[in-house]
Amino acid sequence: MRLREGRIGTQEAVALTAVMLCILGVFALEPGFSYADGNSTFVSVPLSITCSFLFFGFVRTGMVRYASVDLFSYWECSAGKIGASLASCGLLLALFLCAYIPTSRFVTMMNVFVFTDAHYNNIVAYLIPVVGIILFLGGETISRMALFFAPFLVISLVVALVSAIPSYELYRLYPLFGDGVGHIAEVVGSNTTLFLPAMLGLLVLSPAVHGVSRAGRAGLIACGIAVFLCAVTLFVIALVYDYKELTPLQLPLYRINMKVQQEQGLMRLDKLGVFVWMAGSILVSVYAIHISSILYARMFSQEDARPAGAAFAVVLISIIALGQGKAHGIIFESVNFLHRYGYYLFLPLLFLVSAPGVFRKKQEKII
Amino acid sequence: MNFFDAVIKHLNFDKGSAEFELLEQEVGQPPYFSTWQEAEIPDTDPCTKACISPHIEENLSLIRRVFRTDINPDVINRRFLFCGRIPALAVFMNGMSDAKQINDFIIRDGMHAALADGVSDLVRYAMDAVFTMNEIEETSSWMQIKEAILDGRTAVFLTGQTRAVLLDTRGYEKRGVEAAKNEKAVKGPQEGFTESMRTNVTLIRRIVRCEDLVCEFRASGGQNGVKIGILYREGIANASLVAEVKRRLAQIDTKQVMSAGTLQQLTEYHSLSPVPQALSTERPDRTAAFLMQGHVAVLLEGSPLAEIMPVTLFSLMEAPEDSYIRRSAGMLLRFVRYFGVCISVLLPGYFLAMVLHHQGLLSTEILSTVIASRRMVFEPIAVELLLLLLVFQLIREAGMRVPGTIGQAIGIIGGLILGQAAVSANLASSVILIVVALTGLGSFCVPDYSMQLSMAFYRLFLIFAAWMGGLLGITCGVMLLIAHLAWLKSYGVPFLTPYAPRTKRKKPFFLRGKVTPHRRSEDYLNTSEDSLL
Repeated sequence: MRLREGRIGTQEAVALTAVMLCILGVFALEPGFSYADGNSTFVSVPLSITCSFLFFGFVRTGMVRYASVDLFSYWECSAGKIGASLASCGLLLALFLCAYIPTSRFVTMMNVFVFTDAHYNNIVAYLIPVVGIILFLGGETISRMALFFAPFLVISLVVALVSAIPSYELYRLYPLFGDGVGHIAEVVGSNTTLFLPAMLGLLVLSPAVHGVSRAGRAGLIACGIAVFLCAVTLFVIALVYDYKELTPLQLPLYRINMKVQQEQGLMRLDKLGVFVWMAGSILVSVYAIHISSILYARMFSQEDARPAGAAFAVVLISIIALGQGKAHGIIFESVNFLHRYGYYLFLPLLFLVSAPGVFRKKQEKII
Repeated sequence: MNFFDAVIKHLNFDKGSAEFELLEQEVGQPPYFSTWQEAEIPDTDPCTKACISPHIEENLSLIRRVFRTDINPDVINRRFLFCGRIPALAVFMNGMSDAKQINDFIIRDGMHAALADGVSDLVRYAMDAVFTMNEIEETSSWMQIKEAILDGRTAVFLTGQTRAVLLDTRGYEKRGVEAAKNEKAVKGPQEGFTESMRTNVTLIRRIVRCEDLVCEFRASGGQNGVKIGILYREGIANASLVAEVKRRLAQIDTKQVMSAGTLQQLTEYHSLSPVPQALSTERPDRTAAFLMQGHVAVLLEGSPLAEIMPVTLFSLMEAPEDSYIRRSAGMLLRFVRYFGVCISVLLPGYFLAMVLHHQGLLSTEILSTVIASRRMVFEPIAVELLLLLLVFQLIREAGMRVPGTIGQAIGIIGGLILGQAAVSANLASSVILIVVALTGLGSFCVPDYSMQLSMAFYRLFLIFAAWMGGLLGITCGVMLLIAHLAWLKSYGVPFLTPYAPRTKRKKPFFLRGKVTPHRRSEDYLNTSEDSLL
């Protein structure tokens, strides 16, 4: 098999998953939906990550029970080839969302705030060699890059949060959990569509991360880091902006910097931070495509994941590029719809495919 | 020849010229769209199949043919009577061998020795009872004899014997041990390698007094036949790493291997990468430190450098004296070095991105200073930056090639006078001059020369990226750069180890750690000691 999975150590696996969860948790929220009636994202996002981890643990239990090498082989054992293929298709779609949302959002931000005179597609063109080359270099490279970039991401987050201290106001939390338990549950559910694929990616790559048990440990640590970072960041955002201000903002953390630092002369680091986060979002996209290509290769018993990876990369870049043209409305609405309501289909499907393996009596297990 | 004859001569295209022309000798036409075809050159060396004759005349004739002694007076064929009665022949290379040793311990001992009765094996007798030399061996291979003579040893043929005696008479002129010129240390040993491999091995052995340190000598694979020495700690160094180094060295089949740098390029996998995949050092103490950790070192005869393999980015950033000074000072130096690298690689591109694409990120004061300094400069700022970087490289290259103090003078002239003159003549702005100077200073912080050059490549790459895409271009460029480093492996070890992938390590890899008693080698080397734990 030339699946280019490589050998990914525990720290790299943690870094990959934590970076993905943090980028998705902080930058991929849909503001119109998440902040509709109040701001409780600092609770709902960590809760969503925790739920994803619980589901991840559930699937992992089944994999350990069946001694499955990877997620697709487990789903095959649990629900047959058709069930596994259906669940894989659902996961591929969710992974596509994970790859598309943060990158497209940053490209839009670049176009609106940094390169105001440039055409949207000119900015997208810069992503092509980066995504293509890193993807071609394989999983080992992606994981090492994640480990390399993780401290910079954390530092840039901390700098952004600390520099916003003068703007902290507790009253902005009002109404505390004003959006109600129902809405919080909806936000938790919708974000699970993004966080669960990030976690399940570890199980897809379990041969590369030295087995299911190590993948589980990496998932636990990454989940802990992501819950803490996302909770702190989103709480600080809630202290700086009230929910009405947040509703139209695509990247509130970027706007915090702009709000706080615009008069500080040399310390105008607002645009620098956005480039570090953009590097993180590109990495997340590449990782999501990598998982997708590995899953696809397993589905169709291909020996090389790179052709599938190249195809997915082309599709992603094309859709990002189309996102600002005539198809903008369709793409924007479709992605928002999938993000917001996808979990109604996605979670039950994955549960139905994964559960038989966990609950079936031991003597019936097929190894 | 009058004028018309000269004109007619030049117009006569069909007539051959009397001028010498070097013509192709291969059969057929070269392919149109192709490079040099690697053809199998037939082995015409008579030594490969020949056997040693019991008649020394036949052996002498072969030696004359192999070494072209009719036109090559360097090879000396000295006939003498072994034990006063058996015709013998000593063959050695003039200048490569020690004449005194040959006179005293081969010719004199060979002539004056008494032949005991009942000696059945004359070669064995000569080795045991006649030639009083410490390194002596017998051989029946002409290839071995040829290599020995070229190496400075003496071959002795005895009538009636189908074997020859090889005696170590090597003694040629060589440079003495001097201070390392390119890797100076304020504190610590000053010795550097010389061009003599034997001396270099001795310098290392003097520091590494371990019984497990082995030095395997073998041919380099070049037709010039220089020898290489592979040093490692048997039982400590990873066996598969040693095997891989030997395998790559054994694959070399080329015209010439002249220096350790050539050897490095012939053995590394990613030859297009700007980053070196082995560390070149001229310091025995540094080589010894790496050998103690479990690395493999390769020495080349005629080259004052040792190639250490495998290597990581962080070991390339270590200076020889880092561990000789106090921890706090070492940490500071290491931090300054990494800061210098960041400045050297990122500053020109970052500055260009700011000035060209993100003026809003600069304060009004800085922006107005840049504008004021560039008011009369005619070329675009990116071109100006590239030109000044080119000039900087020119000064650096000229300073290195020109010997002695003149080289330093060129640096001063180039740096001060030329820079000042360029600013006065409005050919360059003072701000860009400062950026280029800082870049140059940053690059000099890097201890490894190959790494300095690879940083220059990355700097150029990021300048072009910044020119095209501002900070977005730099972001993409840095991502590709990191991806390349994360992907790269040096003899099977990831280049960003021990950071990514992370390995077990007590000491920090970025700053200098505390000097503590420890017996473990670097984890990424997977030494044989690790299997015992």
